[in-house]
Amino acid sequence: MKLRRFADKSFVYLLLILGAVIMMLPFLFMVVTALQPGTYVLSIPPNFWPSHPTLQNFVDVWTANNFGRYFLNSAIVATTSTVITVIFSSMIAFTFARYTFPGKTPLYYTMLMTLMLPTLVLIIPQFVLAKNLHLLNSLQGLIVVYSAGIPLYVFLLRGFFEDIPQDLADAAAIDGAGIWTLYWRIMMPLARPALATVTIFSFLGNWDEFTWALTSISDSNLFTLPIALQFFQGQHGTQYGLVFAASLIVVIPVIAVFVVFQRHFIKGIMSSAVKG
Amino acid sequence: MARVGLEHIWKRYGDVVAVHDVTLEAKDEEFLVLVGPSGCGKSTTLRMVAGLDDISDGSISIGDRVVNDLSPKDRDIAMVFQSYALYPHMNVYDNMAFGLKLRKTPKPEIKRRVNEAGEILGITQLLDRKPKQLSGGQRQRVALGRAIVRNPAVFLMDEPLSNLDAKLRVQTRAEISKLHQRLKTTFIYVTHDQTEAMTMGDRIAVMKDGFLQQIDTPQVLYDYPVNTFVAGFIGSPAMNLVPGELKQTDGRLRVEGPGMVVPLPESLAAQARGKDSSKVFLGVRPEHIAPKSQYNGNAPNEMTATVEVVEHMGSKQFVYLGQAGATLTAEFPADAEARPEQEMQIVFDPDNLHLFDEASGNAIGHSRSAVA
Repeated sequence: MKLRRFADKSFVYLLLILGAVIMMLPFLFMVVTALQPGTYVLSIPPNFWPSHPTLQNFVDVWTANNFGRYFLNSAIVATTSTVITVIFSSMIAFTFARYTFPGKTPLYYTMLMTLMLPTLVLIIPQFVLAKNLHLLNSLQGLIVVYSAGIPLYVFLLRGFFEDIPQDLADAAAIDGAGIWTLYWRIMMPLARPALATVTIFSFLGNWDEFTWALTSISDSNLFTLPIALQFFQGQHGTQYGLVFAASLIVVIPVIAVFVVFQRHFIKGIMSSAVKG
Repeated sequence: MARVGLEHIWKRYGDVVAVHDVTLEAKDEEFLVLVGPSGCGKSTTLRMVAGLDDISDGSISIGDRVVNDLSPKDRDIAMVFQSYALYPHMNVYDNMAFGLKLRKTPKPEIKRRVNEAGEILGITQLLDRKPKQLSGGQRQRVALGRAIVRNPAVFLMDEPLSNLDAKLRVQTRAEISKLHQRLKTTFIYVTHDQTEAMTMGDRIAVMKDGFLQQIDTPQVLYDYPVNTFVAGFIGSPAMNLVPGELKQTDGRLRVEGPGMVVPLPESLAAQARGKDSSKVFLGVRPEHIAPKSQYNGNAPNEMTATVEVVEHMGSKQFVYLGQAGATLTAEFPADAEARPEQEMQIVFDPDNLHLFDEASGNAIGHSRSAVA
């Protein structure tokens, strides 16, 4: 019996390790390529350890093409829209979870239905709308559009808020808390795991977004990182060392956000998974 | 003055009526217990007093004010919940201070009150801890502390002991009673446990299916239940309710049932006069059934029963007796001889009989009629 359990466990671990290796191999290749001169990039067999380690690619990326500016643009857009998303989606989810009002259910499902529209379908109406609102070719335009991706997070947070016992809300009401105090001082701290999940998903989506940024921004000073990455892909050849170094720089904030929030994130994913 | 008055209170959820026309009063400084089985409307009633649920009809007053339209925070009440409802992300101090902070109480005053409540409840060493680091009993004290610091006119408690183990429950029961004596404030306490109700309440309101059945002191409820529900609910083990028929022979009333003829004492007969041939329940509490061999008085009734189960409690024993297909619960002294399958003659104490109408369940009368 014990042997059987050991074998089962070993098999599961083996499978997980295999999965992890498959996932990490491209990433490792990216890191190695970024850390060696371009001449070694396409060597066969591929290197999984830098043969001539150098940070030159990173220096070149950072100094070329205003990369620092793009990084800052991305940081401003992604952070601002993430903050807006977290605040608004939590407010809406809190309302849907704890209060009843006329039209609540149809409103909720209408909101969820917007999730079913493919992003590309919205590009043209979004463009027209942004043009009329004078939001084209501006970081504000990106922030407004990115912050509109709220329904998914409302769905996620609503389940979490519903799970918070009613007794806590009642105790707060007796203590003298109004709706705002209940939301801000009781519900928000308790929803931290779910908020971390929303923060990560939202930041990741906003940081990586390419299509709308490419469509709406024409001033090169306002480019974000996903657009900037293109510059390293030339018409006649691609400088892989630079592309991978730039990609690594792009990916670092995402990893940082995940590391900071991961403890809560895992809890949030688990609870939302159970809740459905 | 913190009298709480409920007048003709109704609570409806669509077609479902949770509370039917309840009128009751908790007097100033009284410990009033609302007791009843799950779903009887006791917690709903308490929540309406707190302002957490709206009333559908009627009027609630606290002190001299009608509070129907006041929010919970403006009713000058504090509430302790079954789940304790401590804020998990705050430490004990902040949990207790939260209500005062929201009321903009000056910081030194908050500190003084929290420390004072902490001392009363013996939790001063726990003030820095988070709720998850506390045991059930400690959490319960913090919940009480949160209520105390507010210095409210009325304490509302919704089954605050239900999550504690049996030993701690008994201990905390006494502590809440002491707290009531010390604070001299009106308490309204909800429980489904009749022992809690009997031991703690100055008066008890018994509820069933949203209706108030009876409100009175524990002893009056025990001795003079108004119906079979109260008779069966108050007291442990419950009162025996033996079905029978009321008959009159030679001017004397008696209850006849399978294997049983119980002449009624004059005090009870006087209340049952004119109801001959009615189907009734004869009520007798376990401690008022005795083996004939040990009964000193003059009992004009006697019946044969077979011992089914004996539960030894140390100072006494509960004996389950099979009598004409029914089971009677009797409380015998510890030294009374009772073995399973033993056949014995038993008697009902005629001075402690109760008579209920079978159809309505309402009390017809009690042997001890003087107070009833």
